[in-house]
Amino acid sequence: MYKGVVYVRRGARFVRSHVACDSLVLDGDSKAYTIPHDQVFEETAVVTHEAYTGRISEDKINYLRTRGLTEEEAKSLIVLGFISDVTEGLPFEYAMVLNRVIMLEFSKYGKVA
Amino acid sequence: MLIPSELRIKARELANKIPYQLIKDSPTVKYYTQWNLFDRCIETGGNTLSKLPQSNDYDVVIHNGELIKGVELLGDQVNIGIDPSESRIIARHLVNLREVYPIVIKGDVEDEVKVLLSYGGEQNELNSNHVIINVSDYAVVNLALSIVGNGGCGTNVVEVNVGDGATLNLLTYSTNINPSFSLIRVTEGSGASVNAYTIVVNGEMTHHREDYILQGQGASINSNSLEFGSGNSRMDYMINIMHVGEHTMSNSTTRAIALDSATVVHRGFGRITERGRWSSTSIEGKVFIGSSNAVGMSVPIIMVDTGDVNGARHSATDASIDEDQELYLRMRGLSREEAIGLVVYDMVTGFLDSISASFKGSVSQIRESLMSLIRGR
Repeated sequence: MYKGVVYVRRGARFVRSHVACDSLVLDGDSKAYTIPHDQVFEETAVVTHEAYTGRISEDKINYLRTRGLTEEEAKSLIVLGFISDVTEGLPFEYAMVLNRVIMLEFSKYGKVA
Repeated sequence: MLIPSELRIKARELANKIPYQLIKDSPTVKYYTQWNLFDRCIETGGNTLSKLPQSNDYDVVIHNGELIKGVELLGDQVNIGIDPSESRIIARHLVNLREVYPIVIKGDVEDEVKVLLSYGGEQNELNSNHVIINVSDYAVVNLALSIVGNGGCGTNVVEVNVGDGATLNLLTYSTNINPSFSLIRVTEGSGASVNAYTIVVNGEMTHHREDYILQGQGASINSNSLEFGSGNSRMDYMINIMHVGEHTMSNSTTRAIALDSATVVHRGFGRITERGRWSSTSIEGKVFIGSSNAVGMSVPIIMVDTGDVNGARHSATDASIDEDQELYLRMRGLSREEAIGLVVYDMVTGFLDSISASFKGSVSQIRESLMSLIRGR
């Protein structure tokens, strides 16, 4: 769930704000909520927001499977691609751990948890 | 048709007990609708002296809760789909209501069916209108709905039931002066399709809400709206789309204009429920802030309760005239005010031109009144 407020008070001139929040739904029971509030009291401000919620495309999985990946590997690769905007900004060690955790989550070891 | 007495009793009990709104909207702006302004409105039960509207252009006219024209379209069954426990304003509406009018539209109607809900009275008098419109299965209907406030407070509720496989083209034009509450609730059957165009203009505190319930499998809604706020108007336009049936589709686009000292709020809510598998929703809003005292707010919400979703997206923008756009126009000798006026004119005419040709008559009247509003500023 994402909940957020962008509040631009009068006098905060030439403010620029952009919020993007995308959700990837991995199974039939998952839920995703996006609740933004953009409140602009200043004429010169530009406030934008965009969001998308969707599930992993079957086409993408099929494409990767034709290249020899298992379904689990394909899914983990898609998820890693989806979060790459965030992981790229992380310190290298954290990013590696996160990538590894996601890969394991989609492997047969993921069932353990 | 009179309201069932048990419903009126329940409404009377709840009208002073329950709040207008249970949960505040946000930590910063507590309420997008200033409900306290409705507290000064006094229920009249339709016993108000006011000038009757011109009824020549309309097929159905309801004024201050009384049917003035359109008896021939009346049906005989009333199934009220709103409940007083929803909120205080709904309870007050049901307390204040004189009668509910069910209208049945059968078969294909090529010309537009024009319905006018009007209210008027002294500044603090509250008048209410309620109409239930049933569109038969597989009918194709063009419905032009006007909500006109000539002073005083108003609550207007329109319930529309769209039958299986039916197509409804709905044009709503709402213009108000004092605090007003409008609720348009559309329920769609299987394979039903609604193309909605909404124009909401001004008002001291206009709360305009549209609910679309995509009940049947494969139902769809395509909504385009224009909010126009000038002077000291405060407007809260809200569109709620509930995907209940499978393979349903919704698309909502709102353009809003805030001028002078107006506050314009656009709220869009798309929810895909657990039963609404393989559905898609798109909510888009653009609020144009055309003055240093104007305020624009956007709240586009998507809630997806099932993983089996085709896609849900929303986007929102709150901004004034684009710098490049302004520079370009000013280079051609226009002042900033003239440039803003030109952008507003373009937004309004662009929207009106996009409305289906089946509403040619109504659009021409709306265009006239909007243009005089823009010119008179």
